[in-house]
Amino acid sequence: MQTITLMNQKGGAGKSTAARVLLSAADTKGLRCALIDADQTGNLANWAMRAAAAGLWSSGIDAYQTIDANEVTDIAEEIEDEGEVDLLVIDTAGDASRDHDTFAILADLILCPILLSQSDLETAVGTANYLFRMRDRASNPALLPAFRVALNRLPSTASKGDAELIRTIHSNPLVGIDEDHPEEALQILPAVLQEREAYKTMDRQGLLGRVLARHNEASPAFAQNPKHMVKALNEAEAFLTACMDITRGTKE
Amino acid sequence: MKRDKHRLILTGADDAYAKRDAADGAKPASNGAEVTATPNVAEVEPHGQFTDKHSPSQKKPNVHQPGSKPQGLQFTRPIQINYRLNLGKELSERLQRLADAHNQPVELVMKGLRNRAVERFKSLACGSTKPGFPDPAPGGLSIRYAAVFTGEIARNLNHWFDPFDLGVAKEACKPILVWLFQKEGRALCDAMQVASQDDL
Repeated sequence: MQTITLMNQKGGAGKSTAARVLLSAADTKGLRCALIDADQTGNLANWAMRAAAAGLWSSGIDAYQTIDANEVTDIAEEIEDEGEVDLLVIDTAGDASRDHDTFAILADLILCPILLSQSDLETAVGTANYLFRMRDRASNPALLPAFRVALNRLPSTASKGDAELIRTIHSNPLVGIDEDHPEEALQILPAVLQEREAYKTMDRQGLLGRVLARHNEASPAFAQNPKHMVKALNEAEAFLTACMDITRGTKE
Repeated sequence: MKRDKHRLILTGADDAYAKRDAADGAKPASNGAEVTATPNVAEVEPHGQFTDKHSPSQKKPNVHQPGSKPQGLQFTRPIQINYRLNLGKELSERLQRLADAHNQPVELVMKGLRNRAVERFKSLACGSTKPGFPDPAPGGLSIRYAAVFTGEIARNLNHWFDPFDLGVAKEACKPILVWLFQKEGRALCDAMQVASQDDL
């Protein structure tokens, strides 16, 4: 089982969206999944319930909700023991708490989604610094999870300011013990999520692939497989693949 | 998740990161190895053991507009449950002895019992008779059961236990599941006891 934990010090950066995208792509690929919503807002679990009620959920995805970090560990261990899940996605609260230690231990990959803004970049660096400092606290730093920043809600056409920020994100050595002692480059996931209407539909209704299938069932042939949905699904699959490549690397 | 990651031990806490926890003087969170966890729930209203999206402290009740149809029978609200099913102290001891005698991990036996209890629960929930409210024994060994019930099961359970559509059906499910779990455990212990007497 591979575990991806969504983590960011601030809310609204797209943790739950990234989780929905990962689960949608995993469902399309036929992976057996579980999610644990450890965010007190319960957005992800509510989405699962909404999707289940609409028949746009998968019986191959188990959903759990708790704000107790110990219980997250219990659930993750139990899922691991049962050996019936390929991918576990843990969505955490947008804050910086000591519970993040627990989530870091469970994870193979910590994914930190950010919007394209200087503020989001700074909070991502804060989370990356936290992981960097963890090396000193870890009994065996090789066992620490991988960390990647995922760019979320990118506009299809980048403005000059966006392009500047993307260059900054990709080039600056930003991570270290603290912001005054940068030692290495911030690690960026080589896949992004664009601003897409399809993701809003996914949020409203359920798993992206299931939404598309439902659409196709109800539409005449010429209206099937709408481009915007197919593109979103392809992007979701590329996003998942990029994450899984890293988690496999962590395992090895 | 890597099971061997439990060899990873994080010492201390990162107060530069968890500034609020540090200011609150909270204990370090669990790292799955050495430190006992204190979940960071200080700023959240208290939950029961099982968090729930329908918790009244976090969610407004589903208030119907005057004249609108009550949703209880039309809308199948999925039921998300996440319990620890317990055996009761006496039965726990019996089952532990039974497992030890057969050199089996008791957790594995409990998983089997849980699966049977869940099957029986689903079959009850698909039936036409509303189950009663049993009073199972408290305490003892426990095992987690989490699921989301949808479709016919959710429809029946909501109809029986949540006629006002308040999202409380899950509360009624717990004693039934625990009772079935204990019933399965008792049946197994009794059957094995009889079998061992027959051997004599």
